[in-house]
Amino acid sequence: MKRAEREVVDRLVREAVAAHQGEPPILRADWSPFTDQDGMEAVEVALVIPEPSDDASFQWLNDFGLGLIRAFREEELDRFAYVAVVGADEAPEGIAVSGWLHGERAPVP
Amino acid sequence: MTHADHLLEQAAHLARRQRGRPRQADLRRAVSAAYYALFHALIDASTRMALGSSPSRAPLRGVLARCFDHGEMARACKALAGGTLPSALQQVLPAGLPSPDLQRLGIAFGLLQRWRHTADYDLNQPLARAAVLSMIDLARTACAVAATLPTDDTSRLFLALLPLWGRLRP
Repeated sequence: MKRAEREVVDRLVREAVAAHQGEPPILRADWSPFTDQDGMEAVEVALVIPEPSDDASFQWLNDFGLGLIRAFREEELDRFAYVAVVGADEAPEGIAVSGWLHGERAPVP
Repeated sequence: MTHADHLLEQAAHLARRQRGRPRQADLRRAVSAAYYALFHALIDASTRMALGSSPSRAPLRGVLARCFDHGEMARACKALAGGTLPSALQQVLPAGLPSPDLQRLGIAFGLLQRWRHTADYDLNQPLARAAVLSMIDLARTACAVAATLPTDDTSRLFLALLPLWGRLRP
């Protein structure tokens, strides 16, 4: 992953988190590049929030995930097969989002 | 594995099926399968309580299972989720409020049913995989609660009234 791309990803994640206000609180957000088992390069975003337990928190998670995907697409981060929001199930806070959020780009052949 | 387990497995498979771009159709069917897992888990718990768990009675449970209705179950679960029971129940249940597990069950059913409606009917609302997988987690937890409900009076009455909630007199 190129340094410039790292900077863009870092900015996008920070901006997405900074833009969030209200509930649920984002307790932590980290990201890291990784290569999945199929050899596809991706970015993993670990987002720690209180476990979704009501309609509003699920709606927020859905909107946040889609917003992050759109932000990556607008920056034309084409070579990433997908963006992932991965659960930090073992978060010290004991609460986390779990699951993957894949981007809207087609997989890299 | 139970039918609910298979539906949860199906939901997880659909949600992760695509390596890259997830198909909305897969995510929508995943949400639906997750909801139906809890729907059937609750019916299974209710019919087992009424007729016993003997394999020989599975056909009887199957007949009884056809009496359940999504809306009726949603009303029962909404009452649990709100932590309030109709006065007729409050008078006969010494414990009064539903247990935290029952409350969580009620909340999960309402949430999943609401998102099932969105997934199946509102094509203007796209779904994100992270949210879908969290819903599957919620359904998995709720199914486990449904399968291991204690035999206290509140739980038994709740399961018995699931198909009859609307007929409850004040």
